Amino acid sequence: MAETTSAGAGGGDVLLELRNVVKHFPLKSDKLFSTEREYVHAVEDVSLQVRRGETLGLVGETGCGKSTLARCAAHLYPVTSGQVIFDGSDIAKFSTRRMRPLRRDIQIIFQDPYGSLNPRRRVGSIIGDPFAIHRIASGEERKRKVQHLMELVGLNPEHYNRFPAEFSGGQRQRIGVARALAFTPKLIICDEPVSALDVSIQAQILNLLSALQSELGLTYIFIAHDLSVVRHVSDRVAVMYLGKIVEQAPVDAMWAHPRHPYTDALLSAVPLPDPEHALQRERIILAGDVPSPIHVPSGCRFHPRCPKARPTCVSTEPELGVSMADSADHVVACHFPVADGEDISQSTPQIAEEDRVVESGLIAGS
Amino acid sequence: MSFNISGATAQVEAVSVAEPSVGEQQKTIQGKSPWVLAWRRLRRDRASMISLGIIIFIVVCAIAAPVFAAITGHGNMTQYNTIGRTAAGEPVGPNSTFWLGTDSQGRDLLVRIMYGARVSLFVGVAATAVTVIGGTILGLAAGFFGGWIDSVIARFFDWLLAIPFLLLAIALFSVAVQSPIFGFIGPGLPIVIIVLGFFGWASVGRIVRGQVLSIKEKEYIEAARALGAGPWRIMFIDVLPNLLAPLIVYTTLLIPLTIVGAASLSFLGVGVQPPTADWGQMINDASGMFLYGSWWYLLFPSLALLITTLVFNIFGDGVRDAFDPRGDLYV
Amino acid sequence: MARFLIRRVFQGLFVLVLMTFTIYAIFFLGPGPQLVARVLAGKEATPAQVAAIASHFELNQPWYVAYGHFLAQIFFHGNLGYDYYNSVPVTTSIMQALPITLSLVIGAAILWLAIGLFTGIVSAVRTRSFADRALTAQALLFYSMPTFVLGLLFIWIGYSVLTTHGVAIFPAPGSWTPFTTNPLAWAHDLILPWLTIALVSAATYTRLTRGAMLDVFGEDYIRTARSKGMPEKRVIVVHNLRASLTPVVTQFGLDVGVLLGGAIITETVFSLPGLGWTAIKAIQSQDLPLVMGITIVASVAVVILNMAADIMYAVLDPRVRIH
Repeated sequence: MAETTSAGAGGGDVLLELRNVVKHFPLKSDKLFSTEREYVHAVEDVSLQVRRGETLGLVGETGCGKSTLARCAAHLYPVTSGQVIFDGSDIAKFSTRRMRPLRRDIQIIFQDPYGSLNPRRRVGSIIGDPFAIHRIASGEERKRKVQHLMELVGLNPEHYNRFPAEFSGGQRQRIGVARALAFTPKLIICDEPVSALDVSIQAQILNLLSALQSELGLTYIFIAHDLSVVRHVSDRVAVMYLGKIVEQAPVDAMWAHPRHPYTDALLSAVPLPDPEHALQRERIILAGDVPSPIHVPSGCRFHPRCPKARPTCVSTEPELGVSMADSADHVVACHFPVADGEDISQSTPQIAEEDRVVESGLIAGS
Repeated sequence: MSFNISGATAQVEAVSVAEPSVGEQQKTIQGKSPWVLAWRRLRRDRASMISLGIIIFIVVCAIAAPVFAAITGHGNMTQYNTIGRTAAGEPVGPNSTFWLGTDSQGRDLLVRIMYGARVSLFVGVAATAVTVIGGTILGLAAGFFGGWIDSVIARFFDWLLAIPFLLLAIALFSVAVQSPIFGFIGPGLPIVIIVLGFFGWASVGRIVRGQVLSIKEKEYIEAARALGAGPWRIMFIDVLPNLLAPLIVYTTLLIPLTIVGAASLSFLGVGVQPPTADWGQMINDASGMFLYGSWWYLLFPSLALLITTLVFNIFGDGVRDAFDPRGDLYV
Repeated sequence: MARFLIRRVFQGLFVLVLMTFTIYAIFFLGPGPQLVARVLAGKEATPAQVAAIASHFELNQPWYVAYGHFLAQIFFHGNLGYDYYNSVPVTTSIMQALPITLSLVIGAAILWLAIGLFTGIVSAVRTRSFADRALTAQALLFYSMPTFVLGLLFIWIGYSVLTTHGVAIFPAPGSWTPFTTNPLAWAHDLILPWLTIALVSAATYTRLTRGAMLDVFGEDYIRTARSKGMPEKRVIVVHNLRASLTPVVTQFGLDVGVLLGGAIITETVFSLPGLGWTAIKAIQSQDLPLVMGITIVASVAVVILNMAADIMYAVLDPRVRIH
């Protein structure tokens, strides 16, 4: 993994580092007398760095573990193993009490504008929660701070006493943003903040987040499954598949030279505005569905669906590393990365049929 | 393709969603709290409002019973052996002195019915309070803390639900008559309230537990944790307010059931003891003699009981519809 | 499924143990150690009888030994004690009363399910029509009516008033003809008691069925079935009803205890010498062994029926078995 450098936009030192983070959820077994436990392998040996001031995009299909990873980073789930190093300290080991002051520095913006706000509480109370919890301000002072936050995110401060039901989806997301901003956290994890919004509102919220980032010097981890959104906001992007990072690169490099077949397939699915261009392009169609994270495929987890699969892919798991002539911060986990100009829609897998397409199991975590 | 493109549809709720743009003006700055909305809906329900009126009337009667007794000069326990009974010793029918007639002991039936309202209302409210408070605490603990606490409480509920209530009440009573349980719980009003209240814990507890479990999964609870809120704060500030609506609905629906339960116990002779005026007990007394003529002794307490229960049920239905017009709670 | 069954049976047994212990606690631990034997023997007992009881129930032993003895007596010997008041074994009294209660309860349950389901279906299918409003109002009325009030009203109007006016349709309260003697008379004697229990309980089921069916009608798969041209009757019975039955079954499982309570009250009102009536009389005469015996039998029955209802629910709705 690349050492801390000043490369990339935002160019700061490392704010958050995940080292070999593993998160397994034990399953209640269906059998009467079970000797072996089954696990959902939500996150498997993920290592990441997030630099101060940048936006790291985290992409993947539903169930690939990105939300779980985010919650592990925010200390909402205890990690099964690995380290979560925030601003120098490994918070994975922290007790709840020790973690409490750090909660002001790491915040989350949630996906669901309807579920992330308590319908029985007034908006002013919701946004003021952080102040109440950490006993920073109370009464009039708290109200002033809350109203300042409301203005910051583009809400009318006079709506302080309203209930969430009286706001639209976009406005509710703004409330969620305001709540997260209370202490100007160092790191904000945006867990699909715009996925549940209409497209025109998405643009508003994205612009808001961007403006806040420059104004307040925030660092974002931006989780999404929509690639065009990710491209718009991120400095660097990491692609996840079935609990592992399969490719990570600065955003332009990833779009120009996708190395992992999965990334390539994802990018080929993004609608292109130019119709001629779109017609010429070959769509890479992946067979089957994402396998169940309970029974992960051997070797490279992507091999059952990969157009370029070879026997090595079934037997050995690839490590993240630099390939071809890429720069040091573009890494991929693939035995046979995609070369520039290679069209993998023409490739055929060279492995046995029974390894090829896995029947779709239940996708956990969605 | 096997994954989503942008624009997942948001769930639109059929609640009062405000204007789409931010700066638009509203008439009121004060938010419309769910309570205010519910009350407005309730006010529009004519059946519920009429029922509420009748409930208030019954409460007034109960409170004013001694006053009424003083006005008419007929006490609650006063037996009028000459004017209150026929020559054969039978009760006297409705006339100008005794508006609803007398009972088997020659007492003024109307006065006794009013005093009976006191007992019924008191037991109804007290026992319901015991049920709701106890059940909520247990349900909260079970749902919120989970683990072994949940298991133990769940088993407790299973046991409680499996017990045939009436039978056990009878059993308890039969022992209590001879020798007070634990030395102090004798037959009468306290044991009725305790037994009625206690047996309701399981149903309330299960509902509360279910609600808590579903609330726990909501993102705003996760958000509270991410902000650093401790479990007690989450329980009181985030979970409890969301429980209040189903609890209020359940309480209003529970009161009539408790009233009927208490009356049934009295009817069987295992509840409130004579000479305290109680509707169930009066009906029991009347059941032995109404076939031979004293129909009023059966009819009027029965009507009192029926009307009381009916209006509470109608009002309870109205409260439920006011809080839950779409039927999500399914209480 | 096997795992679910085993788990459910164990649960039932556990509850059974808890229940027997509760009963034991009420009768043997409630009164206080010195008084137990006296209480059980009843007011009229001689000291000799009191002593006999003390030794029979092994009251001199520590409570857990006595409890074990108690359980053994019931489940292995079928001995529920001796009724000193009537001088017969408790089991005899119970067996005499049982057929009456069973007739009452089973007939009432069938009637109530039938009425509840039927009115619920009609209400749901013809929402907002006069029939719906009438049935809903009627359900509300009966739901609010205490069982004993309804029973007494039936006796008054159905028996007393009609008979004095020469229309003797219904028999006097207290009439009982065993099924084996004359099935028609048996049913005739039980009509009013059946209706008393059934109408009150059916009200709940009317509302429940109506609500459940209305919910299901809103589901997409009903819309699909209709768009395929399926006749409405078939939609209602084959698709909707099956889905709507599950809350009804659940409710019925919970209501077994209620059924028992209803039986006790109805027997008392109609003077039918079933288990409930016997229990009430036993209390009045302070005949505790009899009360205890009846309580045990009834509780065991309730636990078993609850278990059966749960299992049936799992059969109807496979989702239950998975968690």
